[in-house]
Amino acid sequence: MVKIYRLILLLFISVVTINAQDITVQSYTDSASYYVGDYIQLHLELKYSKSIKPIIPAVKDSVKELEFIKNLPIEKKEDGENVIEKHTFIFSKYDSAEIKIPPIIIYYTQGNSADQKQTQTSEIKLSVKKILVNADEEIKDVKEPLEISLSPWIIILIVVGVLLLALLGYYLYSRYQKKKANILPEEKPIYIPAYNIALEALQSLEGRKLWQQGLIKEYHTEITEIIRRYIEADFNIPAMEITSGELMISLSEVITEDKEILDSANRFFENADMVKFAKFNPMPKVNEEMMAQAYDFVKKAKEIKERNNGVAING
Amino acid sequence: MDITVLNERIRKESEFIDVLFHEISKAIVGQKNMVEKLVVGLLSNGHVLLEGVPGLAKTLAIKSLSSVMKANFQRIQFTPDLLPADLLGTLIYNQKDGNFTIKKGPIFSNFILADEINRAPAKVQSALLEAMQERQVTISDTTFQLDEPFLVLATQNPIEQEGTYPLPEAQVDRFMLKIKITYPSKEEELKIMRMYTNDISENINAVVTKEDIIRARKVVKDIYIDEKVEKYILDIVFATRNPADYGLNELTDLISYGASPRATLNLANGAKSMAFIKRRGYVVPEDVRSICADVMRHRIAVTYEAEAQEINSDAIIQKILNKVEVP
Repeated sequence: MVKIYRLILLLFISVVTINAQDITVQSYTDSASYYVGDYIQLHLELKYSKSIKPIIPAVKDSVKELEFIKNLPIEKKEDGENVIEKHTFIFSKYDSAEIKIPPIIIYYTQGNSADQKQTQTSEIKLSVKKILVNADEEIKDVKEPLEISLSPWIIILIVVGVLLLALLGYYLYSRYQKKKANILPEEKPIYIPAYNIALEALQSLEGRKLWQQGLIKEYHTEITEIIRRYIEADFNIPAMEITSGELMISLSEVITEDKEILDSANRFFENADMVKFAKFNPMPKVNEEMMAQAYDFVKKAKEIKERNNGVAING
Repeated sequence: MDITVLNERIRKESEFIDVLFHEISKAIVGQKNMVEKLVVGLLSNGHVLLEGVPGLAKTLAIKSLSSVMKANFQRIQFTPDLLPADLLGTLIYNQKDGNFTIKKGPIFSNFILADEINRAPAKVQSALLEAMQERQVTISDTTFQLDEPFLVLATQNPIEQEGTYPLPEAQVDRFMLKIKITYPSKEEELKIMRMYTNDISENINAVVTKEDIIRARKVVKDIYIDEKVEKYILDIVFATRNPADYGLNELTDLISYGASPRATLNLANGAKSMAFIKRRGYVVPEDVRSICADVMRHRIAVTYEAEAQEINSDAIIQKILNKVEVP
């Protein structure tokens, strides 16, 4: 018990009051003993008559043994003819030490006088200690999270929220179903066999009478293109990207039993190449024969494809 | 120009082609593509670089080609200590009369075999490639025009890199064709084995004159190339530069730079020579395709990405040929 009294006495010993004529200043801390890392609040209280103008020093720079953290707002109030002003500075210390906070000097002037007078607080002694760890104690787990009991209102709120979400989902789903029902079924693309496309293109070319108008090169270019596109579609040969020679080699690999059609195709492409690349001007009869050869090739090639596939090609 | 007349001229001027192929076949078994491309180089007045692993008859093919010709031939073995003067010639001091006289180097020949060109340092390569381009050599203050035909046939080995000086892209571009030689087939190798183990190889006769080549070159120049084929050539070359324009987006990141206008010229000239070999007075797309890889493979630079994916310029050219529409 005696020890406790001594401790309380020690705490208040640090509180020192300085009395000047019309100004009183005092500084104190909340405690005389702190642990490492604790916030140390240093209070500076001034009580002075209204005619006095005190100058508050930069306390954070004066206390070099402590780490300055921040200032708290200044509390100022009037008490009759006097003013009571309280400054609070927060410091900390990150190592154990015995600290001495030096006296804080307050300068002031009185009335209209330019003379500067001074008064000061007393020195404060503090002790910063390490946290004692008992190595013999069992290592404990971190604390469990706090259990918060749900109030019935929160449960009701959750249930209502889930119901609202379910209703919104049902509404959106039924809207989507209605929309889907209104969309017309996609039309299947009409499949036109390559054979028909080729025959139609040949008829069209024949009708345009290109070579009769002197457009012989254009005629031969188009007629070979029609046949090449047909071969590409029905025989899966990249006929548009290969030369006539390469095309004949590829064709001879798929048309094995009919040498006649291959010979005819070879003549057809050779003639066309002569016109396309060698400025060859064939007789009108040759131009007519080219068309006949083209029709013949498409028809025979179709039969070969049917035989190879074992099914008839539509059209 | 009348194609019939041109065809007749070609028939007359190309008579030596069959004889040439026949004579070369006395020493070279198979490798038809390589021999054909060597003749393309000869007819197009373009130098040829042969690349292949050792033992594929690169040197023998060039020696055989030169043996068929009644023309001067020099073989220069490129080594790391070769000097430009060893190639071009130099000034020799004559002690008797106290004057300097010019001693011409082996480059003053019609056919030069630059064997293992990548074994000589850059200054020698550069001296040769300058002569190839300018077709003239300057020794001291005197400039000498090289004789026509002047053809450099160089070889290089792609697998040995130690102690070699790889030709820079700008210098490789001087070669009209870069021919890659592959292994012969089983049947061809059997023939080679029998021919050389039983010593049944025949002597090659010099049957082609310089004048034959010069006349043939004039005919080659006259061969007709239609605008459709010209457009096809342009499409192929431009596809190497802007592959996306030809639906080849996948090649955009694989090509660091595309073929130069020199590739366009060489494609057109090479295609004409191919038409000549096939006895045609006009070029067909097939002629372009048959020389396309040899003209372009050393003119397309692939990116690091392509190298990482083991995609070379040959694969890129093949993709382009498969995509660009044939006229």
